Amino acid sequence: MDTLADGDAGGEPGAPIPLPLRRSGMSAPRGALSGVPRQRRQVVANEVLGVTIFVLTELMFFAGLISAFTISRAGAPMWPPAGQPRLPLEETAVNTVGLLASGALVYIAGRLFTRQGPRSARLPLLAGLALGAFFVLFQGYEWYRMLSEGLTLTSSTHGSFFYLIVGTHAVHVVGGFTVLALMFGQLLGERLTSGAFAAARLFWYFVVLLWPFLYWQVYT
Amino acid sequence: MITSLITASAAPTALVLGSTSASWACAVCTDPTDPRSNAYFDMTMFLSLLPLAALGFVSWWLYRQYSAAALD
Repeated sequence: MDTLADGDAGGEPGAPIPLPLRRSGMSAPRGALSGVPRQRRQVVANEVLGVTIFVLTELMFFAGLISAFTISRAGAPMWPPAGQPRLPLEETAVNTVGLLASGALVYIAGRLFTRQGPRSARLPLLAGLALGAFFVLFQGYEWYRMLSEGLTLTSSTHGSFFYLIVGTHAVHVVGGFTVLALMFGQLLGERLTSGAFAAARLFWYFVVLLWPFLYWQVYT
Repeated sequence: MITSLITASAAPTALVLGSTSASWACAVCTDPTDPRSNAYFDMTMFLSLLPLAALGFVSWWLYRQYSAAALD
């Protein structure tokens, strides 16, 4: 997003204001009429702004899912329904800690990238990616166990919502992981731009910070 | 202009607010015996306030970025 920062370019204080502006009572923007080209400074990278808007829409998408789940759950006489397996609360808590640690490592990678240069961000980013991969693999294992215990997409409302919400989040984790892995490749090749890296990190933070809320809603 | 807009919208607003039970927009919202009534209310508040909070946060963050750039 191109945004003019105040004071970037100023016109002469005594510069004449064109007649149409004087007649309309409008004041001329500073620097616009002095013949000096305005210096545009990008306040937020285009990639970051685009991902921010995307994250806002995704936030509302997940809010809709959680809303539907909460209302369905409130109408059920018991939850989970009789005959349905309980979700693995403790194991997933460990996995949650792993994903949060992944977010922290990616955050550290971003700080190091900005302050000490791209090379210093390699190790924390790699470690963050490894923990992200661990989360996805563990979720896959958990799904396998749940399916073998009889919790399927069609077995109950419980199963439907579990696979819908957790599965949608898993798709986002895989997407974020793939983008971060691409960023890591660019980092190794020293082609990574700060805007692209910041946008990828922003999406990863969203995925990471969303998960504890989903865990609290769906698993407990 | 604003006064006339408020005046023009007052009657339909009063009509809508005064006839919620007739519209049956939410079949359980006014039924305290339905176990879902609290969930409906909570989720209505959640879905109403979340976008406002999110947009407010993003606006505040953009303003901070802008202010920091202006100080440089």
